[in-house]
Amino acid sequence: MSSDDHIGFAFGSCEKSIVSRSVMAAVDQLCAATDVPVSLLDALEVPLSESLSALYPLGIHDAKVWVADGRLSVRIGVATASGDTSIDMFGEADALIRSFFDEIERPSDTCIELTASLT
Amino acid sequence: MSEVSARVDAPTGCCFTMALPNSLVSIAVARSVVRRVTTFASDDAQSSFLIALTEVVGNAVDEHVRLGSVDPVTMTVSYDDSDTVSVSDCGQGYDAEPASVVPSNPSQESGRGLAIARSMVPEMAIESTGSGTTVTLPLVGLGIVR
Repeated sequence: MSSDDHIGFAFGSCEKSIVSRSVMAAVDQLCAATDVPVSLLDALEVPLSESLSALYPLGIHDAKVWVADGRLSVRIGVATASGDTSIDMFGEADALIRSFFDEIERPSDTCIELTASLT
Repeated sequence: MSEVSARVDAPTGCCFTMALPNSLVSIAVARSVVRRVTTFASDDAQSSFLIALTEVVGNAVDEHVRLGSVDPVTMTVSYDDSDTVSVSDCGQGYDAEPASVVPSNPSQESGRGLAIARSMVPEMAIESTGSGTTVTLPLVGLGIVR
């Protein structure tokens, strides 16, 4: 798999569970293609699901997932500007999400990029 | 507009569109996503649908690789009025009549993908032009997206 292999999503009026399950499925397969241990795949499911759930009220309209240099990145585009800090964005789930995603960046007010090590 | 939105049309209604890379990982991703968001009527229904999806996504990726296309293959899962999965490529298209989707030479090693897909999902629809092909696989009778 090349580092150019990324999966993009554009969502219509989708329920939270559809957004979460579709992104998780893509992450699972991208990680599996890079021989990530199953235990790590299991471990990322909850923080990723929590991050999508927390951002869903802001109107998730697109997402992009990719794996490069042993790191998983998930970029999420939302309709409404997110909070300034991760705790503003993720609320009570912030600690859980940050326990897995060691980088949380905001390329813009309506874009959040989460990155985690897969090693 | 984000990078992803720029690469695929913004969907409306109950649907989502995925931009898939031109590599074999797309087949695994497409199968996994459809399996996760769909409740199938039976194991046989799931197998039939996923076999058809494998062939259709594989054909689309092959066409992009053959042409050296940098555009993504796209897959749209729609569950508004009817539940469907559509796969689109930006290839050169082909004659989509049923008689033409099987190889003329029985010993030919490739060229059976659409025939296999149609045998698994007989309601499959193909729209093909010189600038691309969209294959739509209806889930009616096989499952629902929920």
